[in-house]
Amino acid sequence: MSLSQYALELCALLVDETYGELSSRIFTILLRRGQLPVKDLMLHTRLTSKKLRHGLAVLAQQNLLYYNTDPETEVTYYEANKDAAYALVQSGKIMQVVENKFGVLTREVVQNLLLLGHSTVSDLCDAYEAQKKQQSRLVDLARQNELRRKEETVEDEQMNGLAKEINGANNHPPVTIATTGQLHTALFRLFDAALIERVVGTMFESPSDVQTKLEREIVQEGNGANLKTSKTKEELTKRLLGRLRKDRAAGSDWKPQKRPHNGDHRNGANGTNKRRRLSSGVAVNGDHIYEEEDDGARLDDHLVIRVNHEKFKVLLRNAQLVHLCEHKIGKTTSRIYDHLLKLMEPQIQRCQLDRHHNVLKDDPYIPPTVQAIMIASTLDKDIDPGFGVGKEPTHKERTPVVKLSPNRKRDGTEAFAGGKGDTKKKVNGAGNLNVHNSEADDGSDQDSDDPFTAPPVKPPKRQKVTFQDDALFNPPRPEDREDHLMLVRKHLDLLQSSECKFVTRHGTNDCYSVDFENIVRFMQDAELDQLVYESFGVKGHRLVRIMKQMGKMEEKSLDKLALMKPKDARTKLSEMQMSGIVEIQEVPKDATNRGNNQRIIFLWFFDNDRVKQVVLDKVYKTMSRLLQRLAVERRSARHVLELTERSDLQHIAPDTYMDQQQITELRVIEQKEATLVAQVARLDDMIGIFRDF
Amino acid sequence: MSRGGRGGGGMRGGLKGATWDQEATKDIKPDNKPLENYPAHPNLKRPPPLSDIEMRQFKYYKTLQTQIHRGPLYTQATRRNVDNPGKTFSEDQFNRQYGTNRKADMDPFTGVETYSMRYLPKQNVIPTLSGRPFNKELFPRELWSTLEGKDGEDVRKSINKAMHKRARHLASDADPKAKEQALMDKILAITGEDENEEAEEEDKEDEEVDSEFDDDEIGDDYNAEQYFNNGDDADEGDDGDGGGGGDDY
Repeated sequence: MSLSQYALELCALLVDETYGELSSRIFTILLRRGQLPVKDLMLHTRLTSKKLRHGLAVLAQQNLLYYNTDPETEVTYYEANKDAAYALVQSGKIMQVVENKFGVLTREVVQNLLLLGHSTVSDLCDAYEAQKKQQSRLVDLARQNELRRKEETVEDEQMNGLAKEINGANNHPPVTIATTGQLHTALFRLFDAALIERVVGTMFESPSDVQTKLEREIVQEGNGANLKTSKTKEELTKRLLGRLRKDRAAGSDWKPQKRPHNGDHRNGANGTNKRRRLSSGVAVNGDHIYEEEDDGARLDDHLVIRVNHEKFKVLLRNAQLVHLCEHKIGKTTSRIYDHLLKLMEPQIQRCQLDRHHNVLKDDPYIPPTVQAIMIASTLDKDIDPGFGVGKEPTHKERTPVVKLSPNRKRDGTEAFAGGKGDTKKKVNGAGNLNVHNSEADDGSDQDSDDPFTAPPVKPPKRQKVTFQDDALFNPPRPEDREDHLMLVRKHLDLLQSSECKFVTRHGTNDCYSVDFENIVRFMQDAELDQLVYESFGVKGHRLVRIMKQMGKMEEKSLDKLALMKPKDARTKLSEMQMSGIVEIQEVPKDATNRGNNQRIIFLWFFDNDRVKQVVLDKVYKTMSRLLQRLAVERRSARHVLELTERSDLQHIAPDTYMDQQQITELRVIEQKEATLVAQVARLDDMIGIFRDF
Repeated sequence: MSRGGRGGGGMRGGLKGATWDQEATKDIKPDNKPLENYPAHPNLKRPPPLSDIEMRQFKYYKTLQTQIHRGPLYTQATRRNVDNPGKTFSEDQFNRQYGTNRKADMDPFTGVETYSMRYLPKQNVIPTLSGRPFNKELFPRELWSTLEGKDGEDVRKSINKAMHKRARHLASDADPKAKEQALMDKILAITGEDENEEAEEEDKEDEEVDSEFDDDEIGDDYNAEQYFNNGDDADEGDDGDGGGGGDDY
């Protein structure tokens, strides 16, 4: 897969932003030139051998390279790993997802792993400990400094108070160092979720190299067999798939074996244990309390691990789907959907299936399914499925569920009506998150306004905990459970009948699966619609929709259908053609008489795939511009930033040594950085929709 | 050029029929408006403020970046002029914008080390690979020597050897016998050196990059240059640091 100019630029910029100039220079040349040995790299980069080798070592350590040594000539060829370079932009998201899922400690582990590239388990633990020690030392230092300052400036009470406040906000609370056992447990948890993978040598082989190697093998075996015959092609795909499976079994799909002596908490019956721990992990968020336990499991110290970006893409896709669902249907349904996706997660290793799956008929793809009863029984206690579908059954009046259906229907259609209108507002590029949230709130307000629905009573946090415990001690009565199941099923119905087809029912035994391809296509279409609407107005959008539905069209019939003046329509169309949204095709009426312009029909059309490519390219371009802007902004504020980077001031809150103007400058640049980086992250969501998911 | 003429209050004789008693500034309004190179964006909207999640994502991203930047593998920019346009049209042009030798590119006004610079973060020109564990089997074999820090060791050895030889040569000037001995040594050394041709090759290259080897902890041969070696880190800062430099003089 060759990437566009802007994609390459973006990758180079990301490497530059993260690992500095030397790595980025080498990486840029590799991106532009393809595979190169050291000798040629030296020629193209004008770097000295030493610098070049060091740069290559850094790139290899950070998984940014493919390499391949020719066994005959002993020459090693290097190739840039574009996907890994692009994944650098997702590091923030990855850490946030991990913290949400497993808590602070696990996030720190992942952070260290991202920092180290790939590393053995023992090195990772060492790095973690060293980092923690450093942190605690700094905290102590800061505290001492503060004390000293306090003594010095007793007279200036006000200032002191201010400084103390700031210090309190900026410095870390006492650092807790997790034990090695806890680290191992965290790593096991990550392995369980497939968020980290074992690194094996084959991971550094470029996919194209693997293919050539296999092709050569086939040719050798078949004594000069023709590679173009369908038989050899089939053979090739089969082998590729086999090879891929083998590599995966050794690498990303490999799971460490737990020693038998620790009880396996993770299985079925004792599921509550896990859930409690998970929810506590979430509750702990932001606080520096480690409730992480050490279940005695130990990984091999020499095991080399790294972050599994493919699996993270699955998680990011889930997050976007849930977001879409919340936007389209409602909060409660989205949380149930979230739960369903979470249950499905272990069965999905990567977003895009192998291209070869379709070729092999004997190995059809079976989508993972989840039973409704599974969802209902493992649903988090603080999600009330009675919410959002209709009347909430109370203990006093237990209405038969059947009666709820008209109510539900009403609610459902309302949600759909709202959803249709909302499609326009849903745009990821603009990342209209706040709007979404407020809308979701509106939705729940509507629910509570509903006279048939009892107003939701949200107990405060403390009470919720006791409620959870109650539920644990007093298992719900069977009829309660049935209601629960019914309600969950209703949500699933809602999901199924939505225009996006969030779930599909499978067979008779209440199994649900998710047709990701379909939903992602829906998301792409919605995003495209939104983009066209934003950039070309109602009329442009109308024209595009007509073309989408009718296919290729002549201008005359187009403006008739769109109820526009021919002049307006033409202007709009050419405007859209200039930005690559619509295309024109000339068809001569008479094939023999070419010179006559009168006899040519011009057909306008909208090519979905092409437009997607155009959009992707534009997004890459925007991202790379944003990163360049970031560099410029940093440069213009470098006097302040340099101060914060000074080795004596690095760990002290800037407010204590800067004057007012400098502080303001610092705040401004920090704000700008946040905006720019967040915008890049939002665009990354869009790249996800159009490319990765 | 022509634009200047059109708007030119300054070009006095330029306008026909304009006399000296007419005040140019009063009658002829210079057209100083910027050209519309960048017309207003037709549909520019402010992005919504960051949500909590985005803020957290940014925070983690930033922390990681800072950690990496302070770590040993990060290399600082060596671009001569950072304000040059980033767009380059050829590989040659692309490569030329980077400095190759820090000493040659040093700005004499800001490059001299001052007292306040001693806290500035250390600039890595080359990633520091020592002091970090690597899993060698995951690297191509030709990089192993780099990982072990043995890269360029033979070059360093041959330089040292040459220096010793020269020293001996100089010392033995007085005594003809010793001179003869030195000559013999030299001949022997040349025949011996043929074995590692590569070292010689890199030796040549070494002439233009001798600064590189000063960075290593081992190659401490040029202690006299230490002074500059630390000072030229600061070629980035110009205004503020320039002021500081002035104080020092």
